Amino acid sequence: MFVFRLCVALLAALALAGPALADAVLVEGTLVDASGAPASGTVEAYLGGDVGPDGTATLEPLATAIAAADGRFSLSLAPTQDLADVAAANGGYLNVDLVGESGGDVYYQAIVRRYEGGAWLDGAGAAPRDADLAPTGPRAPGGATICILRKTLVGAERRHTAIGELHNASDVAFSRLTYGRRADSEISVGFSATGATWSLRGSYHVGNLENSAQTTPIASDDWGHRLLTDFSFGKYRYVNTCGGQWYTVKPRFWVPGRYIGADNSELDHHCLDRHAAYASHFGAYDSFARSTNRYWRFAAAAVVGLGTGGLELNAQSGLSTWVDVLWKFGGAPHHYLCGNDGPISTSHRIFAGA
Amino acid sequence: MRRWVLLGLAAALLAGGAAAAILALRESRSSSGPLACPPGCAHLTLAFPVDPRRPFTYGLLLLRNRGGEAAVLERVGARELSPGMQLVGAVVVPTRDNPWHVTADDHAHFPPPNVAQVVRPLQGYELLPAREPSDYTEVLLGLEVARAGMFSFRGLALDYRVAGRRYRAVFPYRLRVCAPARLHRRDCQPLPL
Repeated sequence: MFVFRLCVALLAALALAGPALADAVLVEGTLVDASGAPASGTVEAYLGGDVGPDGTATLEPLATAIAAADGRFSLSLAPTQDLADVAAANGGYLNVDLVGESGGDVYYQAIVRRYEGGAWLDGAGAAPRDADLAPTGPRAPGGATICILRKTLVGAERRHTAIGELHNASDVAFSRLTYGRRADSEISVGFSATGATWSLRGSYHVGNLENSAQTTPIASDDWGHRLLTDFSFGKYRYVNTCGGQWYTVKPRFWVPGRYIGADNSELDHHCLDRHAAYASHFGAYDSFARSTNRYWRFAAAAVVGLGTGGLELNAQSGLSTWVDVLWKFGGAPHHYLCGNDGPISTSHRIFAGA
Repeated sequence: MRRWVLLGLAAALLAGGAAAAILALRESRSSSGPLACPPGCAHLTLAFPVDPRRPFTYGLLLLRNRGGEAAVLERVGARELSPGMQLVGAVVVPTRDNPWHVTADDHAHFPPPNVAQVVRPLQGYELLPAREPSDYTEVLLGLEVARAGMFSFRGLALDYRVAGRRYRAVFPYRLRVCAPARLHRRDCQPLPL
């Protein structure tokens, strides 16, 4: 009896203790120098939130790692309640800035992470691939002995951004794309060491919640276009008091609105030749809808100014199954939809028409 | 001393039970097998008008064997099948042998006349490992409704075996049909995703 009671007490204690917040690998990778050779140095991870009301933020590293002579580094992070709260406000995703330093070089990469099943996953829900960090510019001399990283919002603008597309062939009663109520797009982050020349260095997830879903219905035949909404983009200046200054252009939040983008109807009417392997035939008056988290990554989904000279950012939507597409066909006996890289149940895009 | 021995035994039993529970959980989680809906599996929903007592075809279930051994199909079932609608048959056809590639539906036939000569019974069909990107096999389900009304299912479950081990793959595919067809050509809406 005593043993039984002891076992019960032990089980109760275990149950009440709750799960420990163990560190999990946030990112692993290699620092390389300008020639591609491994470089020793440090890598720090910073939470990529927005700035405060005064337009600035002082950043504390979430985690720090040392890259040895082989350049390898590994950053681990426990999924604290604070991080969970930040992620919850962004659709479950954290945006993280990786900032590295080696010799006289500065490194930068934006990454997206989601904590699930005891591990940090990437924006697509997969185990993260290694991050190979290449130098982004020289480290400017600095005089401080205690290093503080500050970022300042130096400009913001609202830009149309591709979040999806619709393709209709003939005899379509209507088709529609639904995005939201929560934004669900992963958008490139632009980086510049000087503010003059820009490159893309990773991406951020935008997942803010709005009041209503945004639906774009299209009732035209032989119609294929990108569909756009607005995002706010910010240009930030980062200053490290120990030396180093750089700029980023990042998506900040979704601003609901519906716009028609570039005509890409040239992709349609190829379901029985170019995409025949992935074509599906539908009958009269069919309605078909799909919700997927393997949506297409649109190149040049947004073109941002902010002194960049027109920086083209890529965007991928639907990573959390928030983008739905639907077709309602008319009375003709034959209608075709086809996937670009697989059947319409798995493809990244869906085109229309034979 | 005896008490400590008993305590040790109890602890060992508890640890063994926990390990067994973890193993059982892993077993059930991995039981979808090589025909499982892949990561990022899309949710599909389809709707169309039909007539009572006339078999029709649903064909959006595509299979791809991502494993290294042949899978032998046993049966497919519809989840939350409405009373009044029944499954009357299940056949398969490689999409390369289907003139329409994939027959999403045929409102008035099972199997569709243009594939009737090339379909095979689902039960016992041996699905070989996929080699080409386009190696998909379509499952054509025959269904029938008994009366006027709206009928649906909310998922499909496929039972199969590979090298003697049984698997069940579940697909988040929904269907609604509306009968009779002449009254529901415009208003047969798919179930929400």
